[in-house]
Amino acid sequence: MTDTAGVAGHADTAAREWWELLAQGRLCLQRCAGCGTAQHPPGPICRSCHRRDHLAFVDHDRRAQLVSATQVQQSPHPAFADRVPYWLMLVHLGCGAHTLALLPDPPAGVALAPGRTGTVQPGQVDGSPTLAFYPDTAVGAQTASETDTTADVDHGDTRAGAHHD
Amino acid sequence: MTERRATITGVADTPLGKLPGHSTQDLAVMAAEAAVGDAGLGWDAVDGLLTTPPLVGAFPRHAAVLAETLGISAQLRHAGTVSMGGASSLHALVTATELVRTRRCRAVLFVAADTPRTGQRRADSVGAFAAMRHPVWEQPYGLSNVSAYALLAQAYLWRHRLPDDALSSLPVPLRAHAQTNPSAVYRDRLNRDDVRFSRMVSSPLRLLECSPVCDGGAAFVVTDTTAARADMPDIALVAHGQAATFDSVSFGGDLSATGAELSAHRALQAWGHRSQDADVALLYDSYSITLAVLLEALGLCPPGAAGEFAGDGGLGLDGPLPVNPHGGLLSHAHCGGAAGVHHVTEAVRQLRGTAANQVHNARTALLHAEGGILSTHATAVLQAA
Repeated sequence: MTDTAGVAGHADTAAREWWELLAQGRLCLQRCAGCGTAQHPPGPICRSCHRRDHLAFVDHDRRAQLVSATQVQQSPHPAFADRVPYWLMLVHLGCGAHTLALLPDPPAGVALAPGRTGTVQPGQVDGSPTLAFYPDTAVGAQTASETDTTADVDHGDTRAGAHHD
Repeated sequence: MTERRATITGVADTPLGKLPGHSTQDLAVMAAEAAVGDAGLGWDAVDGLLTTPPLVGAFPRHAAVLAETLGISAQLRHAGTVSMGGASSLHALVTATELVRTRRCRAVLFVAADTPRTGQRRADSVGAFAAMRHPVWEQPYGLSNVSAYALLAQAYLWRHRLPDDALSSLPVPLRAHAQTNPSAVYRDRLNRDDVRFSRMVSSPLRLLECSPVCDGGAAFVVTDTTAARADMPDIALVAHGQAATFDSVSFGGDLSATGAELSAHRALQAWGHRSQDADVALLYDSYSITLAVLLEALGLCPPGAAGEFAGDGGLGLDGPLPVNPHGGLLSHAHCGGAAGVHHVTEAVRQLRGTAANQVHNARTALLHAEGGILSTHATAVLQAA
């Protein structure tokens, strides 16, 4: 993985692979074919059925729903100290999987509210990969995307899935 | 072999606040000496030592270094460093009690001290808290401790459809308690508007909803009842629970289920009573949201109602169950890696009848502490015999 904060020593194999995929522009979720669980963050074993031999990364459709948000006014992290204030979000990727994401461009006139739909995209901070959340802005898009999200992300799609064990 | 009965027989707090010239180890030794003295013991009686790693001045094998500093290494039948964040003191209390009950030790000393205020540059202390966030899944987003609590707070406000300032009532009664406690660090008057209009740190949390760190520490001694002071009531751990559902908020799903409910449930089930049956409560209050989550997890108020409960006097000294009569982390003291130990020493003073803000006829104390971001939880019930 691109070493974001000297973290390589803390990352397990699944984490390294996930960050490498993100650096290549791919957002993946780890799915356990044994029990159907989609888990994020990924890990060496399924945290639901505790098996390791059915885990695979599957591409995510990038649709997400806002769960929580904070506008950070001061940051002790060197890469973020000059970026304040910035928005940090917790979003739901579907199937119970959640992730942190940055909000690079708070859209004017769009209230941040629970359940707001949007798209997560790979982004960068100081050359290191992160995820960014872009809320849907147009009224029509909001309605359509809510329908999409209700239908849930397609975690069964393994056409580009990378097995990691 | 029959079990011994264990009791908390010695407690001591160090001075608190800005203590330049005192290292963490100075304060730890000061607290240890005073607690052993308060227990009426000599150093030769101490055969167990537990401690918690500080932010400033931590050693690898911290308990072993503290033992050699105190000159008690060889006599210890058990030594350990408890690293469960703010829940460490309650975890240590449970371990100390079990060491005594099972006859592995006769007198276990727990010491916690830290100097995050003057022991290093302020930025380094802030950075030390930030370094606690998950290096792989949280630090790349610049997540700090306060922002992690802020995510919990915003999720809570949205879940219960509450206004942004719904938690601003929680620090106010704790400051009122601190005002009549001479050992509390923050004793200026505080009203809800002060909180509501204080500087935003990480929305929705404002400065006065976050506990400020200071230097200081405390210690307690658990012995079997035959070694305890005769002029003080025996204070026994009668029930406890521990739990965690996640460590990092990145693994916490939608943040609606922490280990608080599980830990509280385990302890209350073991006790066989409701939380309201206690006489005084000592609840971890690192942030306004922390106290709100714990009040609700313990069933002291309905979900989403903690702010209203606090605003209506639910935490007050003359209420049905006074909460944090010493002022809590928010107004009494948050000593970095030692945070939480004063909830225990205050509980003991309440049960002895010697607290600054004494709750009338307090016989039972309910304690709940958490470490991390509402990650590690411990709940305990102490009773005076």
